Amino acid sequence: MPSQPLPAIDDLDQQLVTLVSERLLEVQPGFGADSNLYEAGLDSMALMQLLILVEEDYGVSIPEAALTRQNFSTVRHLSRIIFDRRGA
Amino acid sequence: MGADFQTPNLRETVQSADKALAVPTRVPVRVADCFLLALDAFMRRTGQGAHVMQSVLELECAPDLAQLRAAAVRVVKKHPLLAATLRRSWRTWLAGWEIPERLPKSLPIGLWRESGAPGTLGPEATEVPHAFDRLQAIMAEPLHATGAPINARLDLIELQNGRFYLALSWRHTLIDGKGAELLLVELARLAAGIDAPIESKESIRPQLSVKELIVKTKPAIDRFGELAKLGIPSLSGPRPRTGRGHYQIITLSEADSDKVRARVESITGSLFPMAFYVAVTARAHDRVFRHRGQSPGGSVASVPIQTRKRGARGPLFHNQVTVFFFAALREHLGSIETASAAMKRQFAEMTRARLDESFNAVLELMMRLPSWVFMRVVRWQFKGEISSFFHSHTGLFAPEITEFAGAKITNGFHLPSLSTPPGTGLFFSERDGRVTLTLSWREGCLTDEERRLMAGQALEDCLGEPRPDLVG
Repeated sequence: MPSQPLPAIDDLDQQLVTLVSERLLEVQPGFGADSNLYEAGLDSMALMQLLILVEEDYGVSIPEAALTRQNFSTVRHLSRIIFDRRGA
Repeated sequence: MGADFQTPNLRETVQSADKALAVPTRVPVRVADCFLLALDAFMRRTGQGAHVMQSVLELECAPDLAQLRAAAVRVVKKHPLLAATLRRSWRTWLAGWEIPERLPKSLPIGLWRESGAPGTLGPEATEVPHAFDRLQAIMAEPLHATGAPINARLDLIELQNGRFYLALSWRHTLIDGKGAELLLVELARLAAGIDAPIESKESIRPQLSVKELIVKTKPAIDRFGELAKLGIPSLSGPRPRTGRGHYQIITLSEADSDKVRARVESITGSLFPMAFYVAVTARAHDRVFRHRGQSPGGSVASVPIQTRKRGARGPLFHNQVTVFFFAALREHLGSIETASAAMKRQFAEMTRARLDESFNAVLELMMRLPSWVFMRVVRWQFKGEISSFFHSHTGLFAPEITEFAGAKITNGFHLPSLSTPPGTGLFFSERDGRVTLTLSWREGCLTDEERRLMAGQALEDCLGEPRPDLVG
């Protein structure tokens, strides 16, 4: 799978913020790792795209059990899941 | 993914007629508009009328008419595409919207009073027996009142209970459901005196050669081949029908809406409600097929997927969607759980295979086809049918606004008019925590008994138990 090495967690936060704001959502100024993704407009399609981008970019497949509202509420929550999965 | 192709700062207001800004006289249609153009032409040619839809706000009291009228004037000047007409270029045969030099002064506004209503609007309002009959009639009539072409209109109807419907009727060739909600938001802002440009980014496609486009179409062509083998039965059958449109709106209570959300959470997970609602719609249609003694191998749902960036205030215009084609196989339709799981699996597969981009590549190759040829290709591929039914889950309805011209908004929903085939559809939206089901059908496509079966099955799947009290 064409994936990049996982960066340090702070860098991963930043990369995911860029990915979300440039490729998925119309975010407001000040959008960051702790911004609420649902309030920013994350819906089924955007979420499915996000899962696939994470899989392609980082080689991390997020299991069904981890697909909870809480885990996708912010970029910071998501990056923890990615980190945990990559380490698993 | 469409998001790969964002362009910065494509301003909706580049189309503004404000004197300080350039006014292009011709705006090209977008790739996704082509199917709607063909469908609109097909409906007209077969006596079904233009493809006009309505988006309705229910208001607690009468809006301020002066504010409403001012907004209706300003919106045409600010967004002159509302007055544009479609024309194909004689050189490229591509369709485009041509903006006239002289714009209509305003969106037309109709004032109506349901029999028995208090009469707040005074003598200007025309009495009608039933609000819904009037709304349906408006969709079957030309949108313009004075002869000048217009692509949207407003109608305010006072109901017997003293509340009001504010209906925005719009041509689907120019506007889609989400765009209509954004246009209502824009009208509400203009009515409140807020007149700011709409900065919006629009997904545009990269310039690809014909050869590259053909390569890109493969996943969609393969998918169409699979679906054609399955068959695409509709409840109307392939023959076009000219009967009028009918609608049933079921807005659930907050308690029942909570139950629906809990069902979605337990069956597909709250993150993927789309799969649940496609499954509900497929099973509701299957209930009618079985009642008729038919047991097709399955059905096909074409589901529009928004390509607007989520949370954006625009673009208002063009069909900013792609379409995913779901197959509802008989072996999956035994329960809402198995049907939802099948739809969720297909959703992931289609996203991964970039079916959205592939389908748009097919449309791009077909853009130059005259509409009648376009629709002939579609119906040839699907043996006279277009889709087994229409369906969408549009999510929160205009959540950006709580009032319109001083009147509190108490509900909001779409009234989608349908072509035959397929002649039936089931649509879902939410507003203020309440889920609304809109059942839409053309006369002759569904008997009243079948309508009750369809609504009953949909409600049972949504709420987990039979709810004859809500079927109507």
